Amino acid sequence: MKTHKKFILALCVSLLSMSLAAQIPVSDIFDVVIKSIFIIRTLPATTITMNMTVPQAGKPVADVVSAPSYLQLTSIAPLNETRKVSTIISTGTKPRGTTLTLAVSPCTTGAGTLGNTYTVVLTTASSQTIIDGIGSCYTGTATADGYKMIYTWAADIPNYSLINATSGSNPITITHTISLASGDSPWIDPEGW
Amino acid sequence: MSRTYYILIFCILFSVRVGYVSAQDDNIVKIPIQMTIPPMASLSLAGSDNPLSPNQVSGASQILRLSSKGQFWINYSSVVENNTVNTICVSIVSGDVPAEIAIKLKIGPDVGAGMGKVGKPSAPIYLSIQPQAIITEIGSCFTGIGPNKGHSLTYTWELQPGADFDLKSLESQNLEVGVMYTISSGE
Repeated sequence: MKTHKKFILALCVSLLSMSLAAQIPVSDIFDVVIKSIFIIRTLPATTITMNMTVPQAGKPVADVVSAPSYLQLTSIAPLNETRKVSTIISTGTKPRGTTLTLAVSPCTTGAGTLGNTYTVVLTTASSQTIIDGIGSCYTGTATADGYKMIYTWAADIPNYSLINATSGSNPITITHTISLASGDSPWIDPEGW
Repeated sequence: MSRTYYILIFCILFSVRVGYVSAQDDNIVKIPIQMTIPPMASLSLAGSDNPLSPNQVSGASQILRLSSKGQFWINYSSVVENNTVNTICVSIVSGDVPAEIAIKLKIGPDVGAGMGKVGKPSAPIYLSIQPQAIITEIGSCFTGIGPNKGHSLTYTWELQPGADFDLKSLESQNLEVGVMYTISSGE
C-alpha cells in the first residue's frame, strides 16, 4: 500500500512538472491563472415555430410572439475588456413584408457585470448588438435564468402588399455570437498557457 | 490514500481540462425558426338597419328588403400566394325576386383605411343566383373593420321596363332576398 502511495505521488509530481516546467522548486509555487472565458447557450434549445393568422376580416395579420427563451452565459474578462452578444439571421430569409424583432430583457439572475440589453430588428444583412458591456459574470443555468428573449414576427404594414403565403414553412436560423466589444478576435493569453 | 492525493490529482486533471476550454467552441448559438403564413381570405359586412350574419371564414350573407336603404360596407383581409389573387363574388341565395324587379348593386372603390394590394371594384351589376365577381385582383391586404372601411355597397331596386305595378305595392309583401358574399382564390 505504501508503494502505491509513492507511485501516485510520483505520477502527480511528474504531471505537474510538465505544465509548470519553469517553476523551481515545483512543489512550492502555485501559479493561479484564470483563463479568459466567454461561453453562451440558450434554453430551451428547440426550434421556434411561428404561424401568422388573421384574427378578424378587415384586420391585418396578428403579431406572432414567441414563448420566452433564455440566453445564458459565463464570462471571465480581463481588466477593462467587455464583451457583446450580437445576432443575425444567418441562414434563410424572413418572408417579405414582415419584420422579425428580438426583445432582450436585462438578466436578473446570476451575478457580475451583466451589461445592457436592447431590442433589435433582425436582418440577414448585418449583426445587431443585443447585449453589450458584459464583464465578468454568470447568469445561472436554471430554466428561466439569464436574459429573457422574445421574438415578435409581425406584418411590415407599409409593405403589406409584399406579403406572400409561404409554401409550407419558411425555415431560418438565428445566430447569437458572443465576442469582444472592440473586435472579433478572442483575447489571447500572452503567456500562451 | 489520503485526501491530499485526491486533491492533487483533481488539480492536475483540471489543468488539463482548462487547456481545452481555450478553444471557445461555445461562443455561438444557433436557433432554428420555422415561419409559416398560410393563404388567408375572410370578409364581413358592416352597415345599418339590416340583419347581418355573424362573421364567417370566407363568406357573409345579408337579407335585403325593399326598405333596406343606405350604404353598406364590405371589409376583408387577404394573404395570397405568389402570383395569385383573391376575388369577391355575390349571388342571391334565398327569396324569390319577381321578374319585374331587378336589384342593382353599385360597388365603391376601397376608401383606403387599410393597407396592401386591395381589390378593384367592378361596374354596377344586377344581382342573380349566379355568382358574379364584384371585387377582383385582391392581393395581400386588409381594409379595416366597420362602416366607412373597405368598399361601399349600394343597392337599388329597379322595375323592369314595361312592369305594370309600382314598388310601393310590393312593400306590403315583405319581400326578402338573401345575398351571399364569398371571397376565394382565382379569377
